[in-house]
Amino acid sequence: MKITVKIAFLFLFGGISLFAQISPGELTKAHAELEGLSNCTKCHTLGDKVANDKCLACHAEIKVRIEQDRGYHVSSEAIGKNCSACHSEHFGRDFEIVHFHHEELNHDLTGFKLLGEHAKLKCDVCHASKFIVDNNKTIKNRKNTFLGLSQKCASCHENYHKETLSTDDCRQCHGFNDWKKAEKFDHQKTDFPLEGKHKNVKCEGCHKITGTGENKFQEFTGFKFGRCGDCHADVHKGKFGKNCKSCHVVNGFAVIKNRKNFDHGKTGFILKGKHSNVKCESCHKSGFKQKIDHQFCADCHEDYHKGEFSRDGLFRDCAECHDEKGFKSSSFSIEEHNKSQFALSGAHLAVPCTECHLTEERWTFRKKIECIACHENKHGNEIALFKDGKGNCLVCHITDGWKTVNFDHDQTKFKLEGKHKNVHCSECHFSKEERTKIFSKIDSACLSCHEDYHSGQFQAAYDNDCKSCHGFEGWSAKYFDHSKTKFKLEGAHKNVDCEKCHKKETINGKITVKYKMESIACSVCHS
Amino acid sequence: MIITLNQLYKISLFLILSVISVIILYFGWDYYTLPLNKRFFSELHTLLKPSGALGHGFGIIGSLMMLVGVVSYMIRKRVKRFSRLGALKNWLIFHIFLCTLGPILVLYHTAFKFGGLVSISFWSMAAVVVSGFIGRFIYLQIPRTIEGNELSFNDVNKLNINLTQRLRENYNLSESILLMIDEFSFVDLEEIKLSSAISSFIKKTIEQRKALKKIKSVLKKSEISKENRKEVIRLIKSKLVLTRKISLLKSMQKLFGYWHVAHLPFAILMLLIMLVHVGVTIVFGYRWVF
Repeated sequence: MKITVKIAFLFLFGGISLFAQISPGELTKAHAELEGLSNCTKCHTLGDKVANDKCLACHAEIKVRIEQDRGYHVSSEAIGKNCSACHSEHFGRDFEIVHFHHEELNHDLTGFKLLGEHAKLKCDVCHASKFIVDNNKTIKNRKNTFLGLSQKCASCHENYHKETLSTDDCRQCHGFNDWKKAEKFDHQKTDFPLEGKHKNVKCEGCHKITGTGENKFQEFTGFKFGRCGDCHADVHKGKFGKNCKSCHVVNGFAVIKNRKNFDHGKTGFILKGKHSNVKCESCHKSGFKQKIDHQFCADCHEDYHKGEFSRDGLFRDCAECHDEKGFKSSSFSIEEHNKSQFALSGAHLAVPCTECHLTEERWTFRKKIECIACHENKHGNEIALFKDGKGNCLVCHITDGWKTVNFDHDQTKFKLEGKHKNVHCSECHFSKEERTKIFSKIDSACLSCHEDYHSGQFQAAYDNDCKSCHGFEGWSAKYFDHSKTKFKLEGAHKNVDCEKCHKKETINGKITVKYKMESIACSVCHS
Repeated sequence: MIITLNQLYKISLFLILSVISVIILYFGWDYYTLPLNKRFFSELHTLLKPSGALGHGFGIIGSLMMLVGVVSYMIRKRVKRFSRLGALKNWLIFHIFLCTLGPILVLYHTAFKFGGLVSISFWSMAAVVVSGFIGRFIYLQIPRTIEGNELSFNDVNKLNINLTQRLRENYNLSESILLMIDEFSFVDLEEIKLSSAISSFIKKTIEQRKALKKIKSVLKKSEISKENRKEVIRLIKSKLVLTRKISLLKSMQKLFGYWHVAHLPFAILMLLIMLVHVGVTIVFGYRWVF
């Protein structure tokens, strides 16, 4: 009885238990089809636990990646490990055989570091079927797979450059933070290194954006850039040739190189004289782009003369008198001066300009042209012309010098005739007593100059007017007509010497020929 | 209280068993309490998984313990050459110790993973252990010599009479108390059916507890000194237990016979499964440290 029961026990539980010992637990859903006693060796290698070969025999896509030395399974975290170290089994259907938590994954280990914006993306944004480029369609059609993506940017990103660039590896230029910033792009390594102002130009400034929306395109190739003119408009309209660099530098068009060598004449304004030494900025104050009026000197220069030369509202440019040699010199000639109201002649020609035009602190030109505006009136009120202050010296003087008097004495009441013409002015017009020249004080009566040689004998009859008897040619009594006297010479009388009758006597205390007889009686002479 | 060598032996084994069990449980609590599908991701998994450095070790050591516990006890019990090698009850205790700690270690080896078909191997082991405890209970219901050998019915009766005499002679108990003790320790020699042995045991135990309570209250009122009273109660207790054991002796002896029929096959079954398990494990390359 005892033995029978014992055997029953053994058969009852033993059979079941033998089978039960084989599997230590249910397989996961993924491997559920491998459940069963006959499948053990599909994964297990006798005597060698679970060998990788068997895993990779099924998981060929992983095997390929390992052989190609790419992907997570060749990372330091996974390489050399047994598959089962991470992907264990027999923990039931719901076991996470791929224990993959997005937030825990160090994506660097997959061979593709998540940098910049990539790090912010959710996994399924990239790990989507549409981005799987693997030729193996089983992967492409597989749900929730992380395989099959290419590391080439274009496999996920649209080629914005429409294959116009020499490379499809965006990373050569772009970083991971912002497409717009081609942060890894070094323009300096291109055929057109950015220098000077070019560095500050926005990319779109040269690389034009065309189209909108999906057709938006920015050109980076296929345009000329060898010459400045390929991008820049020639503001000089070809005047200076095509080589901008001969004058301009990349630090700005306003910065001119080789200034000394610059042919300013090409601008239409030849730099001469002092202009040659003026710094560019002195004229081009607002830069070289700013057009400068240069038709008139006054466009740049202040009118020193403060409009002195404007006449009737008409502006006269400096260039009429000055040139580029400087304002101190003047091209204003004597001929030009002579065209003015005040022609230079005589001594005026020898007078330095300053004598007349720099009488104050500054040059002045609009001056009164009256002589006394410059010259001192030496005559006081002696000459009527000066009495009202408007004396014109030239009435008497000439510009050759004061001493030379060119006075038409005939204009006066006292015409110079005869001997008077040969008399030096000072004989009449110099007062020895006053030691000064006199004009108005001179009496036109003969005796105002001449001595009364007749000692007053003709005072009464002729008011001492010498001209009654004498002419200006000399003192001969040329105009005396004895017949007009009371005593007409007749007969022998005509032949008698004057002295026979007119003898010298003392008259008024002076020995004088006596012409005025008290009596014409014959007895006075004849006995 | 004087602790006998035998008690020290028992306590030592119990302490070893408890400490090992508790330490492993404490160390692996976080792991063992994890759901099955999460355990793989625990840091302790490498150590405590069934094929782990510790987990696999628990399995091997636990299995060896059971093997040694069963084989050594069987040899001592059944091979005449070793019949005088130590007291059989000490071997039994050692057998119980090894066959308790062994399954506990195997339990840790399984990492409390009872699900699936493989659990039958565990439950067969558990059945052996449980049946062992039942056997131990039945074993204790059969009076034995100090060496653990079974006493005959007559020997047991003599013991009972001795106890009565010691109570009557040494403690000067009143006749009413003695009558009360006799009444409660009456041995019913009517054979109890095997099917009602356990219920009878329970019934008798409850009755005797009530009886002891009554006797205690009576003794309290009597003139017996406090020290004597304790000794009297101990003797009465022994007498009551002995009375119960005498009443159930034949039934327990029969039950014990049948118990062997269950306990041993479970042990053999477990052993066979273990061998298959070990064999499969080795074949698949899981060799622990070897």
